Amino acid sequence: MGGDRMDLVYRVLDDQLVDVDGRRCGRVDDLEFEGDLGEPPRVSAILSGSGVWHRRMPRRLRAIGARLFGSGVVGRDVIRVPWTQVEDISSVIQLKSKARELGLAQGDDRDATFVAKLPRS
Amino acid sequence: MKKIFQVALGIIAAIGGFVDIGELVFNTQAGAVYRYQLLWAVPVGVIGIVVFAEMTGRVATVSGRPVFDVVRMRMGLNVGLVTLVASLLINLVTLAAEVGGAAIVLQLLFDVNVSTLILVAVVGLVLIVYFVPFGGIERIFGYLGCALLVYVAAAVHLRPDWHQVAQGLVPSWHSSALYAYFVVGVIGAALIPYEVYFYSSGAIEDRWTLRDLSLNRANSVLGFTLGGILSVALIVVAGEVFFAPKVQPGYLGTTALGAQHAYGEAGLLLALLGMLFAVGGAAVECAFSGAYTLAQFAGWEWGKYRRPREAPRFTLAWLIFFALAFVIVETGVDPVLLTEYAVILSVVALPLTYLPVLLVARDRTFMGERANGLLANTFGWLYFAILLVVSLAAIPLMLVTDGGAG
Amino acid sequence: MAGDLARGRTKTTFVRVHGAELSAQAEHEAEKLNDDPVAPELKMPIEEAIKLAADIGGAIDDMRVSPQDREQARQDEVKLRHWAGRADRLAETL
Repeated sequence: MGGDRMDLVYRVLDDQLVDVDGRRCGRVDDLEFEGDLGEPPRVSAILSGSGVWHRRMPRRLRAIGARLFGSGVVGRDVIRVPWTQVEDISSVIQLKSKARELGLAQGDDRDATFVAKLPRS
Repeated sequence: MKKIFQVALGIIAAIGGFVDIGELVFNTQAGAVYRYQLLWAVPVGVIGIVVFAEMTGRVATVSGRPVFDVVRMRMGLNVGLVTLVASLLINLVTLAAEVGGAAIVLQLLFDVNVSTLILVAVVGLVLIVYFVPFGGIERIFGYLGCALLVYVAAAVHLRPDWHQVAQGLVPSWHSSALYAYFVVGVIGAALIPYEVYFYSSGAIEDRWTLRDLSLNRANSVLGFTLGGILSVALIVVAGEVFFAPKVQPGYLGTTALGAQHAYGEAGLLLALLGMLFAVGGAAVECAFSGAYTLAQFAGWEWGKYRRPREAPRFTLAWLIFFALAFVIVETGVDPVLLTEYAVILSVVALPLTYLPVLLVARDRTFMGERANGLLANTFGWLYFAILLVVSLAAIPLMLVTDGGAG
Repeated sequence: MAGDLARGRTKTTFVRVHGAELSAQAEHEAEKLNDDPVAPELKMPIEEAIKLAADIGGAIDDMRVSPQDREQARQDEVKLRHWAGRADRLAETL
């Protein structure tokens, strides 16, 4: 992967994810690359969830970061979204499927059941 | 014709919504201690908020990114997290100050025990926000906040020495830490960050297009400028009423006394009514700004027009902010003190959100041909320098002057 | 506030609430002056300052108790102005 494409990929980092229904469902918190040694790396997946934050923090703060934000348990504090799910990249990352199908926005779905009990919600 | 009417209404709402408890406290004190010599700091602050708001509005319209999206994207996770935490804490202190201020004004009107009134204020605000559509909320608080225009009338009525007032509008310098503290305070009270974050999120929710850009820009310039006139009036009235007798205003009641001095009971009632709605409206903006900040940084669904169950974490966020503010104010801490901390700390953190917005506003890859031109760049960088200086000086000055006690 | 009360230009609730804030502060200042250790040559002015604070607080409390008594308010206005001037001069000497 050449230099510009790497920049493009890094431009995607920290961007907003939006599902096929236009629902905001998290951010690109980290990226997963694949490729054998000697080959140019390819992006294989988007990682979304605070569980990967600790890896990006300064080394001394990683332990605290993992405790506060999660240690990266896939399915719980981080969701893996295959790169093939990406429909378009503009000011947001447009995804092809619904957030629920991809496992995203679980926090909103979970809290929605509580909020739905409030009047006129 | 209808559009002009709408614009005019929008500007009126902006005037009433410009003043919050920071200006009520700092401008009254500035006028009481230094008479008209700090008047120049108000335009410095107003131009600052116009520059900041213009950039955030333009960035939101062109790139679809509100402030905390810009912060996260441009500054990355780590600096972004620091900015987030700082902003949320400051937001909470500010919200507590506004809520406490509203409770005090209610007490001055109704002489009921303040603990009860704090509950009334919080519950009232939450219910209004929850059940009234947002367009209506902004109009109610904005129009009724215009009762504060009694201060503009009072400023003229009290017949100040206009020559001295004009002189006060020209920047002057006193080598006194107290003076410098008030310069920081008056600028900080005008350059309200949560108002800018709220404004940028609003631009996206109201779906501003490139075509509306100049109209919205004119709208905000006019609104903030006229609001600034209100701030100037607060200083002039305080200068007329409190400077000679050497009153050091430490209470909102003292601020209200200024209007009463000019117009008696009618003046008092208009001032208190205006304060209540200006501060109440500020509380709503503040709580939502905090929710926007958190939701935008984390990537959650957000929106003041959304039904609660469509943006559950966003909804819970602003509800919890109000609850926390309630707890803080009920501990009995003085809202005027909270205000001073809120304004000073806001000023300290301001460069953290201003810089990413400036960098993105200048960046053609995001803004295309709407990137900063010469004027925007000049003012943009000039104000970054001003904000940096003010931000670095703020806490030392607060400590040295013991919070403006001299 | 006294002046406005004397001329009937204010609200009772305002006088009661804001007056309470001001008189509480006067009392607080008096207590601080009383409790802090003081150099012997300053003893007289400090005692006068304490008495002033007490007088001021008392006048404000009178207004709070009977805000409709305009005559009292008129007299309080005169007294308060006098005491404010005295406090100013005291502050300058201290």
